[in-house]
Amino acid sequence: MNKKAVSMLSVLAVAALILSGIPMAASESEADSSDEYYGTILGLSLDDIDEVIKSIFHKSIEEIIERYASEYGYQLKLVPDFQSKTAVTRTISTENGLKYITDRVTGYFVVTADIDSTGKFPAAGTYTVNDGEAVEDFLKRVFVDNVSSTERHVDYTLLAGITLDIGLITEIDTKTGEVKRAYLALLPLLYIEGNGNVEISVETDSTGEELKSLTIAYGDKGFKENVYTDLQMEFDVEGLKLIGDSVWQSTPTVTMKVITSIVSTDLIQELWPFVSEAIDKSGKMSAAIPELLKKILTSTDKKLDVRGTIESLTGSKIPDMMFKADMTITNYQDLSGNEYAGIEVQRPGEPVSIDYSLGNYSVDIYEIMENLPDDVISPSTKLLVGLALGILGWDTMELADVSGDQKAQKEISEIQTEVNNINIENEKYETNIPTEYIAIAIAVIVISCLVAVLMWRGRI
Amino acid sequence: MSMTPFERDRAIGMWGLALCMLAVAAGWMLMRFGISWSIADLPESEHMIRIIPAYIISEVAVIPLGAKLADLMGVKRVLLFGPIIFILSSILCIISVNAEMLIAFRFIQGIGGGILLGMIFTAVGRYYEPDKRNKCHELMTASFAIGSLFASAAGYFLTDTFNWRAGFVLLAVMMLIGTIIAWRLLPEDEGSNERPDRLNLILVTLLFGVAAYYTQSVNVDYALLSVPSILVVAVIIVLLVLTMWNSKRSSNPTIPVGISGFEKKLIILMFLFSMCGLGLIQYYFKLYLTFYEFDIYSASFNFMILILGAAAPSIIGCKLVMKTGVMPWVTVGAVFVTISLLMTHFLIDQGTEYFALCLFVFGFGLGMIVTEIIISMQGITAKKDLGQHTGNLMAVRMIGILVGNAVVGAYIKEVVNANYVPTIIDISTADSLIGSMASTFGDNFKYTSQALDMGFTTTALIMAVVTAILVVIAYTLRKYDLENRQE
Repeated sequence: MNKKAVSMLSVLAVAALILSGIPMAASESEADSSDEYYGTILGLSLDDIDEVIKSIFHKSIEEIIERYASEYGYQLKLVPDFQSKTAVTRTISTENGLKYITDRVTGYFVVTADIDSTGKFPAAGTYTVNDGEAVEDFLKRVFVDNVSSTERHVDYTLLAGITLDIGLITEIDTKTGEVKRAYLALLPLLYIEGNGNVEISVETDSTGEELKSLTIAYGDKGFKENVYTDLQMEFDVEGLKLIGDSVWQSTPTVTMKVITSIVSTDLIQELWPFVSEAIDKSGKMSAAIPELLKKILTSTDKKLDVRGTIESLTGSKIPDMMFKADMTITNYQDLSGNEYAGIEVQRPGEPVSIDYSLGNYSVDIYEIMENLPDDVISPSTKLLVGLALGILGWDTMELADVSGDQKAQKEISEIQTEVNNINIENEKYETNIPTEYIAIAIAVIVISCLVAVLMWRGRI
Repeated sequence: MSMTPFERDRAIGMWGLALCMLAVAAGWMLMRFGISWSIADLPESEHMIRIIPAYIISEVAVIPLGAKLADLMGVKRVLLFGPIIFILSSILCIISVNAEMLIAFRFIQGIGGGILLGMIFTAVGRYYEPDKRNKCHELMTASFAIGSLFASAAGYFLTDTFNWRAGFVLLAVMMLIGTIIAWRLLPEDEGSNERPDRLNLILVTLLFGVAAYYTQSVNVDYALLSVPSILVVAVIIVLLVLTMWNSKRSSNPTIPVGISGFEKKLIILMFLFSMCGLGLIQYYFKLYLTFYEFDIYSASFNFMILILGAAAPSIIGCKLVMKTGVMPWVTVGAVFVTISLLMTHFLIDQGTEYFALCLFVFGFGLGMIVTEIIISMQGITAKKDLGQHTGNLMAVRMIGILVGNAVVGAYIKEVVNANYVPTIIDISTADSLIGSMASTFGDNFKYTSQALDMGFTTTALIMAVVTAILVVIAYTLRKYDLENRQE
């Protein structure tokens, strides 16, 4: 993803954050309502993916990979599976003159692949890339030219998953229509797990870009790695309120306060080159904090409280961050009478326009994408993404009123529970004390008691 | 000069106590570096920051108790339970499954540590004649310094290499070995076997405990000028008055009463030098990490320079203090501490070589002060009252260190809050939002680092003025300790 795309997504995220309170503020004249609950479930299966891939490449995933393997002289059987479900919900409640809108997006995307292959594989060992050798030539040298004479059977199961749990609570003063505060919790998780009778490990240079060597080992192998983040932020909002039927005071200043910033860093060594590059290219952070973040992040593979660590080192709190934006918001109705807030955020170059439905919680994702400037997403990419969205049926997202729909609520709850369970499994808590420390503890207690008795009796 | 078997055993026994002292001092600082990072495998807890204070508060509270018990029961009987409390609580720390358990066990560990800290310095006085205490006191002070200064790096290494639990295993094993050596080789030491004044013991423990609690909670749980802060200070004052009143009426008080002007000056000097000296060390450490290089081992290496600076004057000072009196040493030491604090103000941010030089001179000055004061105080104290005087002095010293920490911390916080001008990221003009956020975060961190530098160097200047005044107070000590020596 290029820098502009990342930047634009961030703008959209902040804009969405600020504006998530608009529908509620817009209806502030309504009497205090009881809790409202809207939701929808988005599902994606392997067939859906296959359909998209087939429409682009005219081949299924299995066919593509099996054909690629046959070029290297291997018979390969791939059994992929893909499961994805996402629940999008909004609950609205009113308490003491304050309206709380809680938006939550909870989803998981899990890919499993059973790979079963027979062929003449390279012998176990480390293979080093020669000076000036292209990666493709190197792989051919290892997997085609350098194979052993005996045939080998290799099977491997790969499990990769992403979970996403985003919660946003927006607080609105129902009397003034003012968006007061927002609380954002982001819990993305990426995990990879592999088990089989082969292990291929790759060594790259310090930038992580250039392949240096490849090590192949046989026998029962397995690994599990993840990146877990728990980021919770509070935003104090000023200057965002409805001052007429359709007119907004939209000069928002947002103060961002980091509440929690936990990172589990199994994969940080692998990911650091990309993080570092992103930071170096887009800011001067690395110059201002010589080695600090890298040192703390790469110093452990455990769950790390970044903010807590920095603050305990400096003895000072890291100051909060503030944002402002030049934007205009005008409410309007389309031909069908649906009410929208037309939001235009000024940006260097072209402004970003978002039409936000006020009548219900619905988002026309396709239209938002279409409105993005061409220099952020090229027309061909737009076409491709638009096609995929159309096939998947994700071009428009509507949240139905599920307040009385027990079945829908149960399904939503199941998805949220599933994501919670995966997150808990991948959190790096070790509430089970390592066995060796239990043994040491018992040994020290026994010896201490023995020594104390002997001292008491005057034996030593 | 060859030693008799008795002297040899006694000396080796003292090495055992020094090992215990190393464990006690290391227990204080073991988890100082990045607590959140250290115990990252435990569930998140808002109480995580209490892990260090839990140990400090209980440790400081019972220092006078440990010293008094050494007077009443003799050193070896205190060795029967002080180390056991420390070892068992260390083991309980190892099997903690959440921060709350760890905090509770650290509190108990601090009780064991505090009893030993008070007892060990008293033991030196009880086992050695006044003119032969110097080497042992140097050994104990060096153990305390090494344990305190290098525990952060050791804790970092152990956590990074094994697990945070490994540090507690090390503490327990060190304590066990030290205790066995000390128990096996130290001669019998009969205490006075008098009945302790329990109410007085409780009052003294509460007084030092609440004072230590205040240093750990002010600017963390409440502001310096706030109602809770004033309430806690009021409680301390009430406890102080009650303790003094009760001690004057007690037949066997835990802290000394009716002491001479010389002793009062020594106590004041110990408090203020600890505040202006050892209380600042943590900020030298933080400054190095944030201002120069985030390398905990390099930062710790600077403490080696500080100890090197302190070694020569300490060895000579402790050897001669019983002949010259404490006045010349503390006076000259105070001059060097003042110079080092001025150097800190002007030079510390000019380069790592200047940073090291500041610490060397700082150590050079402190080397002439701390141990010499203990030796001098014990020199004018009757053997039966050594614990009473030593425990009080050690507790005052610890409170001084904690106050120094708190004062610098509070001032730096003020500097940060007063001078910070927030950067507002304008989404409409920023070329790259991520870039602007990264840049602002970097600037904020740089600002924090500079505020730490500015706050610390300004505090160092204020402390230099205080130590300059201490030069005068030290000069007025004259030769009281030579003229009033207790054999």
